[in-house]
Amino acid sequence: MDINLLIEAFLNILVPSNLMLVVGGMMLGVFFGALPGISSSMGIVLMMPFTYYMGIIPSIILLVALYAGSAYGGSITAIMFNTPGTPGAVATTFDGYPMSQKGKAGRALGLAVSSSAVGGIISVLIMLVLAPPMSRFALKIQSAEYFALTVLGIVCIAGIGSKNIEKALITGGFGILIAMMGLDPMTGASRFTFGDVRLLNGIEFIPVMIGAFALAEVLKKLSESLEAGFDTSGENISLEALKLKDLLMHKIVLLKSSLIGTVIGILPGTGGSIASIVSYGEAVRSGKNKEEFGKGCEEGIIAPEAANNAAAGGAMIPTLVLGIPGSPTTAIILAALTLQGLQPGPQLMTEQPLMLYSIFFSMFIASVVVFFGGRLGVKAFAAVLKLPYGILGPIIVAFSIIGSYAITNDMFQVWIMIFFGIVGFFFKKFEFSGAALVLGLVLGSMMEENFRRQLVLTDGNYMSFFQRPISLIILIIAILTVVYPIISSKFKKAN
Amino acid sequence: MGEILFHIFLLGIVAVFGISSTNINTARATDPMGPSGFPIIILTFIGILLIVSLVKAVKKYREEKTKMEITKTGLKRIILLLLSLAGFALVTPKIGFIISIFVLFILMFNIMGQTGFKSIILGLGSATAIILLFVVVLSVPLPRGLGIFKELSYLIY
Repeated sequence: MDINLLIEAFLNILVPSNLMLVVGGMMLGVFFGALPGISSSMGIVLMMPFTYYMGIIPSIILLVALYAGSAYGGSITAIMFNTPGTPGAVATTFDGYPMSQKGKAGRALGLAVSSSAVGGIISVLIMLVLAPPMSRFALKIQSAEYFALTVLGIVCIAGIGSKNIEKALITGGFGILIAMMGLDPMTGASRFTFGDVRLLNGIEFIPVMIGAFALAEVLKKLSESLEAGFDTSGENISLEALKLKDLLMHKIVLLKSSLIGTVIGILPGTGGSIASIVSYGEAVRSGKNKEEFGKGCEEGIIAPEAANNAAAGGAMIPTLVLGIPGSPTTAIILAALTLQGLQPGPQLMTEQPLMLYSIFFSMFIASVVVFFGGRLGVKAFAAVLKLPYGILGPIIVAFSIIGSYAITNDMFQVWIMIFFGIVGFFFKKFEFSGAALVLGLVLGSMMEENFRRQLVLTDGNYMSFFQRPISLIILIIAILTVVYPIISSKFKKAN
Repeated sequence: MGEILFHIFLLGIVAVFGISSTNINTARATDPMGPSGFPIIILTFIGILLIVSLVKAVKKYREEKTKMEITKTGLKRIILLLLSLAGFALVTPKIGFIISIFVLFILMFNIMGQTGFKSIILGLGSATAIILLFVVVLSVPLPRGLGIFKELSYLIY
């Protein structure tokens, strides 16, 4: 690594105009990330025309900062309204919303913003040092490992987000089933479309997520509130900010989740949702007070938030170093880079290292800005909860409608959102897990495709999943995740 | 009782998907499982767990005789909101987003206790803010409606 180049790249970012772009991009990212259904990819697409008139480095800085900010934005609505802005923020609802319900929205948002920033910073540091070797490692990951990773994600679902493991697995299973609706990716055969052409493309997970979380929550509030009970909801909200030493108390979880997030983020196609759920599962497994998770535990916010932001950073490694985008958002960033005349891929490291380091540093500065600026903005976000639910509820429903509609500009998505709102309401009533449904939906197609692809590659050898070392290790971790709590509780009972 | 009925509803969905999985065209399958193999595994898995969970729900019902805790007012509000949403989804393609979101806001504010003139003011303010944000700033192509509604929408976006 050339230190002079690093310094030059860092100074590039510190030019006032570039710094302003970082701050502006980050703020826009937070805004887009916080709106359910209005994704960071849409934000980047909207910003791309402006970049035509900028230089290469400023335009990349703007887009990358927007991308980094959006990963944090998803947590805001997850904590305040139990509505994850992005699939990566689903795990944040498990403890973020209960903490907010306890009147500690300010603290929950503070934890989210700080851990998001730390996750982002750690992933950038890893990128700076290890980008080329980690990209080569990512290339070794094949179908068997991807399948094992989805199994680990599903197993984590079982232990979290619900008081009942069976019900969490049932809803997770339904999520996987819904992911299989539409055309089979390997043969093109139509599955579970029931003769409706609109289902040939499958079910989008955003309307399902918005319905199962946002609309279901509004319906739950309606079922609970008594006469004139909607005017009193926000009075006991504390806008207490988070102190730095409070965050440092959780440094191990923070570091571990950031590492998990970065490593999972590097694998193309995985993204923040698996990273956050695996980190949350690990935080629960290693937590001293397991019974506190799901009731507003601080580590339950730190783990998924650090991981999904680290994953956003990690996903930039294969995008830049290999030219393989791992998500729709990184694909759009890749397109923007190409429009600017850059050629992402192995030669970027050798031919334009200054550019590569500038990109990494812009993400670094964006995370630092999130850390300080976000902490200041926390009070403003939390203050929204002071509004009576009678006013907040209709606004949440309106955002849900537009968020669903904007996916394909089709009212069919609004119907899907309404249907899953009703289903989500009953899930809440009977202690099924809406989170497991969404995660099953996100992981389902990846799980099936990689399972079947591995079987094709190995002529139907089912044992091949256990014959590859990385896949075997992940599967062993998955098995331990299930078996360990059972054995440990029996052991405790025996004692 | 509600929990038992919900389990039966979910089992019904499993049955419908199960029947549908037998009709999947497997002729072009290149892998040992084919397009129907994985769904059948998942359906079996869900089915078994649902039966186990149903048995537990029945036992729980016998022991506690639990009822679904929804007040009449709560149930009425939920039904009204869902009807409003369904109405919105049905009429928006015809009358466009601007009018339908304004009406929906007024209905929702009334359902949630903000009645009378207050609901109209809140509805107008919220609809204007939403239209400005999503239509004007973010250029989301929201439905314009048909005929005169479409012509009117061009005056705004």
